[in-house]
Amino acid sequence: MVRTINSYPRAAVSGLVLAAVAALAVPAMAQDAPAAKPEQALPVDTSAGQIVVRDATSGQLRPATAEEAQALRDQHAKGRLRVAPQATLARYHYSGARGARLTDEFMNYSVVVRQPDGSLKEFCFQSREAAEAALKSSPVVATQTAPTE
Amino acid sequence: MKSFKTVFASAMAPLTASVLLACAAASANAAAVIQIMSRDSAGVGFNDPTPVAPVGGNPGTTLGQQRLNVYRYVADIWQQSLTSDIKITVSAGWEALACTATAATLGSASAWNIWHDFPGGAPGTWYPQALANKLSGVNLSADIPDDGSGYGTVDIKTQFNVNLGNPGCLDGTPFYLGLDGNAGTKINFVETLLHELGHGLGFAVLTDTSVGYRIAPDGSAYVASGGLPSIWEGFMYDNTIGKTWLQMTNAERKASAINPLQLAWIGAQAVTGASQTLGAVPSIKIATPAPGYAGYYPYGTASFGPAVVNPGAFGVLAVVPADPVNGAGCVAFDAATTAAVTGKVAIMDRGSCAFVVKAKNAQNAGAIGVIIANNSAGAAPGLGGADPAIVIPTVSVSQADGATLKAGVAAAVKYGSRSQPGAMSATFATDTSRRAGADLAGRPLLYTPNPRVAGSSVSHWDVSAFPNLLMEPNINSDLTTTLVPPKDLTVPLLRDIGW
Repeated sequence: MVRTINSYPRAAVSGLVLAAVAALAVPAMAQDAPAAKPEQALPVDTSAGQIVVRDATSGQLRPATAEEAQALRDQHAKGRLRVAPQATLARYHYSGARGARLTDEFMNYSVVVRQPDGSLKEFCFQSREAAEAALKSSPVVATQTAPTE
Repeated sequence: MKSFKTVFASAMAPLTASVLLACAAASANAAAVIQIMSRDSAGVGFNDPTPVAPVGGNPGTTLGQQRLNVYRYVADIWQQSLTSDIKITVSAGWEALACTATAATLGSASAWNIWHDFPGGAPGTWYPQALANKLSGVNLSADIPDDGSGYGTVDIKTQFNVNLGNPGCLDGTPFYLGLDGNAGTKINFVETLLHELGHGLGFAVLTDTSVGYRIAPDGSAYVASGGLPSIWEGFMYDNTIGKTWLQMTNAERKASAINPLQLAWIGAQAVTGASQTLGAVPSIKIATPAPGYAGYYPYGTASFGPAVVNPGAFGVLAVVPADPVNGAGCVAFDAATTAAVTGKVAIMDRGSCAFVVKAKNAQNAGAIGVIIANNSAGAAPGLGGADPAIVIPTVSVSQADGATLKAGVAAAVKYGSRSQPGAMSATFATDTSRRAGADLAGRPLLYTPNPRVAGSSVSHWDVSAFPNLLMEPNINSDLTTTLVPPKDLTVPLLRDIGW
């Protein structure tokens, strides 16, 4: 027997720039999303009036502008994709053993970065976030390997 | 539609279920059999028909054949290193992974299924499936229907970058698909795959090192309480707190993951292997008339200046004073400091300017060498940078050792005469009482830098290991395909956890 269980909340959700009280009609995380459809978008209420933000000047809550609402939705969607790209699956064996099929979030990633002197350095990371960060800021990776000051 | 066909069952003849059962009954020590299962579509990855010339012992004449030959070659190395009566399954695919013109994700791999509380395993403990199958003597996923992916029950999932070397993806630097290690300026796929399969077979802590959480019994998430330890935790001993990870709280595990050079692997196989594999620690050997300062101080090397000759001479030490405004050694030395360091080895703190600036200023003042003391906890760092004008050797020491050496210079003065003050002198030597990459008890160290290196900490050997090991976070160019002492410690660790 195989059943779908909760999504894996390994990756941190980035904090919202806007201090929002979101009334979006989506759960905070796709706890019940089946593994086979991790990329499927959940319903989103497009009414900007249902999203409030704390005004940077007055400090008061007010309805979001269209731009603020869209930015929040974009950020929410990104966060949800990072949090629950796939769900683990529980495993059972007649012997009483229990297990789980993991997800790509558990992968070890090999990354190679060309150094300023043209040489290549190869690194192993244990999360996609770390690997992607290394790709985006390869000079930082080089610095971590051999600091210059 | 993808064809999930089996590419190559084994270097051995394919085994039927009945034969496997017979083997299981006959022996618990049969050589492992690794099956590579392709996820690639027609014309892609392993099926790429692009003609290529045989290279480095790889006889394939298409790109796809050569890729498959490397997978088989690496799987055979692992087969010869491990025993199991249950076939090990590896799902493999070539995919378009993230990359830029100067950096690329080469690939990724992990155990794809994990188990606890199976016959033959430690109770309440997570194991990767390949190891759980070996210990239990059965394929725990045998009766589990696939999850729709075609590879849901495999032991290990892998994928590598199909675009590597193409424009926009580490331009002009593809995988080297030879089997002889002569990768030149290309990426040695053999070593990369050896390393990643090592993680999939069990070289991974399976505990969240950023917060110390364990995986819940249902495998759904890392949880603050009620999670199960992995088989690794009983072998991970923190010398500072005096506990294994099995005995720690979440907070203690989190702290241990950033406790540099203090988290040791205490499994008997790896400890014995370390004594046969790891070399003596390259050190600065100090001689001084002042009591309490003589001895060995491990050093880090610099990418600039002449290479250190060990064993070899260094010199008498002189301290460059702290400079709260500019940073020690960051501006041209004043007359007093110049007089102090002329003809001597200048020791100064790290910080405020580049290492090459400090070394160049010391050289200009007449110093014959430089020691840079780290300004934060941890091992002596490697010193990066470049300046071809620097002709004196530069090394680093840890912050603690730097403080001791500076104090020792001052303490030595009174042991001389008025015309010839006592001095602390240094030579380059090896400390045969310690091994590079091991703690004081000779136990190999896990990688626990502070601050934590996202994604690399703990599930690798420490980078201070010498010679370089396959399962360090940096996949070095001088590795071999030998996974046992006196070359490597990968297999001893895996044996400790049950392989």
